[in-house]
Amino acid sequence: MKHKKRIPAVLACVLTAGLLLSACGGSPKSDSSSTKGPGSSTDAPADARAEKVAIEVMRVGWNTTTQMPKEQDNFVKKTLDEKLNIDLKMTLTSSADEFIQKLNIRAAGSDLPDVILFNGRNEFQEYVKKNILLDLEPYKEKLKPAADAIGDNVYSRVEVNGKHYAISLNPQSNWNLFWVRKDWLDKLQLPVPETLDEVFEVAKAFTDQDPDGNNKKDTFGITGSLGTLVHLINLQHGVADALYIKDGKMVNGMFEPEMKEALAYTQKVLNSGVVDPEIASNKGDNAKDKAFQGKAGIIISDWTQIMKDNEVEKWKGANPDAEFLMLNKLQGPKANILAAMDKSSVSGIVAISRQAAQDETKLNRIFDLINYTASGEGSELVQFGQEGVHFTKENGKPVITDRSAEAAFTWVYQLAGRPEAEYLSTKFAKQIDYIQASEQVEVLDTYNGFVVFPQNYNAADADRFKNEEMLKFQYGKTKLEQYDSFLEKLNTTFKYQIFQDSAMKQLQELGYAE
Amino acid sequence: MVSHGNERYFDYFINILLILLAVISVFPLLYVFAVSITPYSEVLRNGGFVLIPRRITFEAYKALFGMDAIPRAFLVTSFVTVMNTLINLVLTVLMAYTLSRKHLVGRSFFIFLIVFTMMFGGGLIPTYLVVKGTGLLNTIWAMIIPGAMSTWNVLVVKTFFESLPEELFESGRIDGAGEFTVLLRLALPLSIPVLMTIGLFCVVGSWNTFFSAVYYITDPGLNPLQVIIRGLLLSSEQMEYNADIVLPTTTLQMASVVAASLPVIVVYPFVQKHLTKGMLIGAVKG
Amino acid sequence: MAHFPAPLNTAAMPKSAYRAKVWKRIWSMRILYLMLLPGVAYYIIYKYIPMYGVLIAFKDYDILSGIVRSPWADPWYKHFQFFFESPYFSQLLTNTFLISLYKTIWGTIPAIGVALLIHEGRSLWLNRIVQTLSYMPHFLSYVIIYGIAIAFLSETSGLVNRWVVEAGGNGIPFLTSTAYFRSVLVGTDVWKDLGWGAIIYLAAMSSIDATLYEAARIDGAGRLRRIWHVTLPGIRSVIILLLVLKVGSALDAGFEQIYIMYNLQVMPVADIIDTWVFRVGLEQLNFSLATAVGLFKSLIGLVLIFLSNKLARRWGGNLW
Repeated sequence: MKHKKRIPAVLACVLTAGLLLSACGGSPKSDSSSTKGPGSSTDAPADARAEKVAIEVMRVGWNTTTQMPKEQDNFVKKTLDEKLNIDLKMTLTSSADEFIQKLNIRAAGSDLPDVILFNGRNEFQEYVKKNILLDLEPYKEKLKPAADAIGDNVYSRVEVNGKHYAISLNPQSNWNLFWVRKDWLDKLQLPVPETLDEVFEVAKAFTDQDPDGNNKKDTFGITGSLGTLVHLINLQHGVADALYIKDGKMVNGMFEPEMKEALAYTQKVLNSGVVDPEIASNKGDNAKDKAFQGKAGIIISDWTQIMKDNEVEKWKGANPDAEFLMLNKLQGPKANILAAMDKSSVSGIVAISRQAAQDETKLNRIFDLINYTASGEGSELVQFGQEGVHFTKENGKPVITDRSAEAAFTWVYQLAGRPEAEYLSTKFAKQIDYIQASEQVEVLDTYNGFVVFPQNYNAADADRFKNEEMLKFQYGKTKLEQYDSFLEKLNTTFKYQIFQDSAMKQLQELGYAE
Repeated sequence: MVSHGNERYFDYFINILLILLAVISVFPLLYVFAVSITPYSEVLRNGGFVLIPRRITFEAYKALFGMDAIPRAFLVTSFVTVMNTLINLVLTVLMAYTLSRKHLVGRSFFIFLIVFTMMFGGGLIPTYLVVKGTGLLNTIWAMIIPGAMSTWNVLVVKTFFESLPEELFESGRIDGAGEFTVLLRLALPLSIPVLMTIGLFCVVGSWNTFFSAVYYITDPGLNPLQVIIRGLLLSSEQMEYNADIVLPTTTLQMASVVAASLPVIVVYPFVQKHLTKGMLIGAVKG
Repeated sequence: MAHFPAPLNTAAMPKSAYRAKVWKRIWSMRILYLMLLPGVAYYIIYKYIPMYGVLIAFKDYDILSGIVRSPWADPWYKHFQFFFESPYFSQLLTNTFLISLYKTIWGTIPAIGVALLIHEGRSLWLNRIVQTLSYMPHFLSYVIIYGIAIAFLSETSGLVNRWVVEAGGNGIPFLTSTAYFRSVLVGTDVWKDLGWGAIIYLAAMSSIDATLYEAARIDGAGRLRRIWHVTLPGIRSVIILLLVLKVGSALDAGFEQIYIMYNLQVMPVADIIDTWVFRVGLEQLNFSLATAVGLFKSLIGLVLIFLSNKLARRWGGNLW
């Protein structure tokens, strides 16, 4: 009767599991019961200024979600709570996809956070269309401190149908540029490239002349992502896959004659064997790893990816002699532009849900919160941390201390942006040369961000077709003579013409195009 | 038992294949583990590939467990795993046993009722509304109750119950035992392998709780392990360029993977014991 | 408790008597229905109540108005039409079916093989070790698997290609060529779940009555014949069950894996319905489209599972 023995075994298993439960089950349970749900303080009397108001802010926190300190150690939350008499809750997601999914279902359950910080314009416009966000027009006076700190275009950059539903945060300008291994240049006794052609000559030398001196032909010239490489080549031909003004007229770069010239140039570069063969499929850190490992001598990236302390540690660790040089000025065949930025671009869009506005006390505290982080001590708190701990003041200017790493999470509380130049020069004092150098880059203004996709236009399909066919041109698998018939198919089968017409009309209405 | 010459070669052949299988499985895993204990600069010097590190460091693990979120997440995930597995097993066994009784009136209907849900789902939003309506939102139970059953599990256990000899049940009933007693005394002890297997699937499934947390939880104190790990694994490409973000190193990422999977890997040998052949000898006739 | 009743003989019975008899039987099995109750309640609350959500497929869903009050789409099939009219529709369907089919075939046969190997292996410690090791890859997420795939298969830096180049060959673009990409997808998927997939078959094998083996041995059957005549028939019902269920989800080709691993160059062989919905839906936050496509997939799945259940009936493995 073997099976009889087994019953106690099963029982024992269940019992121990039960014990485990009561042992470890306690803490998460008590956690959940002690947490106040969002909006639980709406029953607070409206007149009692002394009453704490719960405010929930939702934004993408990337991997900072893993770095948030315990509630009792969170000096930012503590200070904000005390100063403004609120109970601030940050709901952070670790990716933009997660953010939008979470927001959508919460909207469906009419359970929205009070303040929403959008990263993407599309989502923001959708939410405006759905009539969920608060029109800020009547409250502009109350938001004046924050608006003044941000600048003139705080509302206009995120205008929807002439209405203002959000304040916009100033964009960061971290351009993707060519970074060249300086030590390799020196070893091969090459001058610093000054034109686009010279960049590719250097790339050729890096491929053929064994710059790492291991007597193996195991290096290549350029890595990065194909998108950024093509973008730079385009810009140096005075063209971009975007809407921009040329000779006083709004144009779409796809239809400009320079696009073909740029394509021909790209073809030449990609077929010369100096480019990472996987450049079209590099994802995540692949390209950076290749450059840091000394497999490629030129990488297309921005200063945060190459020059931040922890990045420098990586490539210095792999090769102590390595040195990277940023090319912030280049003469191309047709232009010396190296970056394009949308006129509408912002680093964040801060909106308030209409639900939150039903409680006037709450709404006022939200304005207080946004204004407080916009300037003065509040702004310094969310930028650098606590004075005397994470930063000190020298001649009125903040200087970070060696404990500043503990304040690495404070940026999630920046609800009114920050004075970018000042911020970077304080927080990244060592990198200041690169930051200033990237500010000198010649920039092309583009206007795509203002355009709302027309109905019946499937942007995802059109993008896929466009990118796939362009890839074939770039690698020379399709002859350039086919370019016009490609455009024809894009316009008809994939309805790109509908987008093009609608875009021009919208830009005219906004006054950007004639 | 005397082995013939042929049989011995057969054994050699099987063992060689088994060893081969072990090598294929373990090689890439060794890489994950090796990277997690190698200094990051050495990883880069070796072209991103390490199998046997020259220098060993546990810095990455230190950094990982230094994060405030990790120990808490381990607790949350453990609680969810234990509860979910228990509830799942009980509900699954009850339903599977009933559906395995061929004479049950409406049996086909009930089976179809559950199979249908494998094909058709209401989607995210209505499910969210139901979770909200049942008061689970932003509690730990939101990660347990909505996934308390799996049709796949029910069908597998049902199939096993069906394969048990019918005389067994008859004999039980002749002894005057009720259905519940038959299930508890006769069917369950004979189904240890499948229960262990299903239990294992539940453990692993709930250990990997991710989506229900993303959808139903906003309290960071209730984030399960996988939510934290995913935060670490997101590549820089998916992030907007933001000077403030410090990207985790590959070493830290690999360490997080090792730390997060080790506890469930350790469970397996206990389950394995019950999957040995021949353990039912005599049980039926016993 | 009464004895278990024999099958009903319904042939020559008046209707009312028949009905009374059925109720009597139901009453006699009341304990069983009671046992079924918690499960059925779960299914009703968390599976059937949310099903009204399929309405979204036929509406212009508006978050604020909610599912029921959102306006109907005009025409009602608008969102389906948007999907069918995509120039990529047939490519998406083909890719989805093919990848799913390959994964089913290569996910089933090798797993059964592994289970047989472990079942037949006589060295207990080797069995244990192999079992545990082969089960471990299951715990790696696809992000990590992709990282490993790069470490081994990258054209420039992958270990395999370093060997190929050292042997005088040219690097093989495993991850970027339409010729190899599907094999890489299926291969990594099989590798990940080889040991994991074997567990369920092992559980089935361990439940086979050992006296059957003894009998076969006495009849003079060798190892292979015992596998063929005892082991495989012993797990037949599980194999059929899992296959039927797989067929039902033939339009799920593994979104997460493909989304993480694909790139522009392999789109023509790798873009599946789910990745398309993700791209299109994300661009315009189009819930109605996502629901419509989901409904389309469900309908195909339902037809397929009906057919495969019919087919399975021939081998006595039908689900219902």
